[in-house]
Amino acid sequence: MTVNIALPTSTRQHFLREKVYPFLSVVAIYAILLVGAVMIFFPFAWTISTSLKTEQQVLEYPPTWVPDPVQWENYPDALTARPFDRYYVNTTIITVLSVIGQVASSAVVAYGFARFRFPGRGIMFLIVLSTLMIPFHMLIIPRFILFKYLGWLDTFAPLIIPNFFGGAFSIFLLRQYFLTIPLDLDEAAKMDGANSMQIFLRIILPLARPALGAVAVFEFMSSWNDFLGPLIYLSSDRNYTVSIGLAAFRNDYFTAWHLYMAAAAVAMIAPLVVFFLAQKYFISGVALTGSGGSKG
Amino acid sequence: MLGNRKTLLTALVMVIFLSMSLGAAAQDAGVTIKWFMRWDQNRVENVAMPVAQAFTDATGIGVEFENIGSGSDYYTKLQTTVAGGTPPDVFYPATHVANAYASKGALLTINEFVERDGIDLSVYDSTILANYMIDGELHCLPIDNAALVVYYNKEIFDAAGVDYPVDGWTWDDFVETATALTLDTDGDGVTDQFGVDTFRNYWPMVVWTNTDRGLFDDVRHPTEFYGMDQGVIDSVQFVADLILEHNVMPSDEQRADISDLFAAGKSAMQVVGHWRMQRYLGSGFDFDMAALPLGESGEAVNRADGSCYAISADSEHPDEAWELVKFLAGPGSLGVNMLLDLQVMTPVLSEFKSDPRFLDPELLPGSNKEAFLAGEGNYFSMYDPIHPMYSAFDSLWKQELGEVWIGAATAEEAMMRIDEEVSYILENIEDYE
Repeated sequence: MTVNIALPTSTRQHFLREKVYPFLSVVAIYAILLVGAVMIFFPFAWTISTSLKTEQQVLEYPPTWVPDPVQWENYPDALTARPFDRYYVNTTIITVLSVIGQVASSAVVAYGFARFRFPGRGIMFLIVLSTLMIPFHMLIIPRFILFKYLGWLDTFAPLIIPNFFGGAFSIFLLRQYFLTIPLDLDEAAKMDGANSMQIFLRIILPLARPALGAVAVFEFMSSWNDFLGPLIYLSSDRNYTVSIGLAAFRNDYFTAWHLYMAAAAVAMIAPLVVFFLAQKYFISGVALTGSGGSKG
Repeated sequence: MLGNRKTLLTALVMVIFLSMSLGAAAQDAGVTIKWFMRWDQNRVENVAMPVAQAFTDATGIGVEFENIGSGSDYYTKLQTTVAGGTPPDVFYPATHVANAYASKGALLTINEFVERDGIDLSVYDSTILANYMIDGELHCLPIDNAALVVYYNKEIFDAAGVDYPVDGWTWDDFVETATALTLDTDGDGVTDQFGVDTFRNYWPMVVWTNTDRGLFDDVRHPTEFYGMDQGVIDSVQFVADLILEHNVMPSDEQRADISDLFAAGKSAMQVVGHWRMQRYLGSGFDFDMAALPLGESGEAVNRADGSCYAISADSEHPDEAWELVKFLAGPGSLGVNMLLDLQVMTPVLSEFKSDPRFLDPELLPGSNKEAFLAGEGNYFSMYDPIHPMYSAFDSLWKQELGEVWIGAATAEEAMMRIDEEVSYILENIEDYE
């Protein structure tokens, strides 16, 4: 004998609405996140896997995931094939100074655009933004000639100094953020006797930490991973950066993938550490810009 | 507040000063030549460094060596430095690049140096040397030509009981051999071993074997494109059919981005030049080389293009730069001598072509190194025409033939489109000069 127990319609709808739909929603969200995580993790895992293979295993077809034997010596081999210690130091110097320059100068300019009224402000801001539309490749030769006359070739200066004159993307991002800070705070500070610089340093900057952090993270990633700039402006091995050092493992006919990936895995450590330490700023930057972080 | 500003300003100036001084190049008192290369680390460590040191020891001229392994990155930097007025003194362009630079006056002509030092140019292959002459002016000293051969894995041939390729074999023999060596070893319907790894970008080579001529009427001053020639169309279709009909050559999907199926032991043959030999020597299997198959013309052919050492027209030390070029590529040069030992190139100097280190190397005893010399006297440039319009043609055929390789268009359809575009380019060729 079977007993059919039919729930009242309203109860069933309530059950679906309160229990099933939220559950399905959570499952769907996790499924999407899982797919996203796998997509992000896949290249990283492949890098690590390849970095532990022999040269022959790298060529195996179909490719294998698990190295056998595990070639730990790829790491010391790769890192001693070129003076990567020096490359790391060089890259760190360039990146740290670039971040300082970019954040400091962009914040000052953005503050000017956000808080001061002066003739031509709109036009000037438009001009700053329009520089985003100039393809970088168009600037390579003019900038190279400029830096040649300044005597900066084969020094870190071309990779660092321009950052002390702000970046259009950073200025835009910071200006938009500064505009969200109520003017009442500025006025209250003025009533307490603060001047514009004090308002900037003591009111605006502390409140804009998420945006400043986002700019810093973007600049860090951009400088650390920059290949074309060091390629063009640096010519001495002692001045090379990590990205140029990595390129030594590949040429038109052959890439030593096992060594390349080992060195690349080590090169990823700094950006990964920065990302994990500053991920809330990075995410807020994505939210602020509505983009995936493309600096343009 | 003023104090804060001063501190900030001082810090900024210090940072700028520090940045400018960090990595600043040391100044040498004597003449130093900038030598810019695009070699792999093997050649950098075993040839470039010792040669540079030997040159300095012999001449007292310093050498500042820079190397960028990737060709595209190398040329990006070269172009920037040339345009920026700070080119390296000596660099290493491929044939078509050397011509593009020479036509814009960026290379120093070396006729005077050659005459002054009594260099006998007859020791260079005349067809190859002619690639670096513009209006009778020599712009480069070549060191190699990118001769192609068919590498074959003897172990795979032995296992399948297939005869090794012999001189005078034809494309029909090639297809037959490749078919016999293409295997689905586990019976799952997926090819596990291909007869030959992909060489579709060398399709002009197949054209030469069938038509015994290049793609244009004049490799230096093109006025007519032979794209609609039946021999050209059939040659392109032949290459596509190796993928699509005979299934002996892998598609992109089947290659799964493996850089070299031959090195991986997954293809029985590979059509490529000398530059891969080091890699195959380290692959652990027994291999040899065969000359390229013969086509309809019955003539053996090979590539004329290669690389050369050029001196920048803006070099401040042309005499010293010439001394380095002689040291690297002149008759009896130490540079080529050392390269021979590495087994990485096909020399253009006759003395080195017959050198036992090239023909019968210790690393490959009894091998058929003469295969690299097959087609001598019947050389063509893979970068055809050797003219500034080549880059436009290169983009064009890569786009259109991409359709042919996947079966989305026939060779005739693609060549018709290419022909139309090339005709327009040729009508306006002065725009490219």
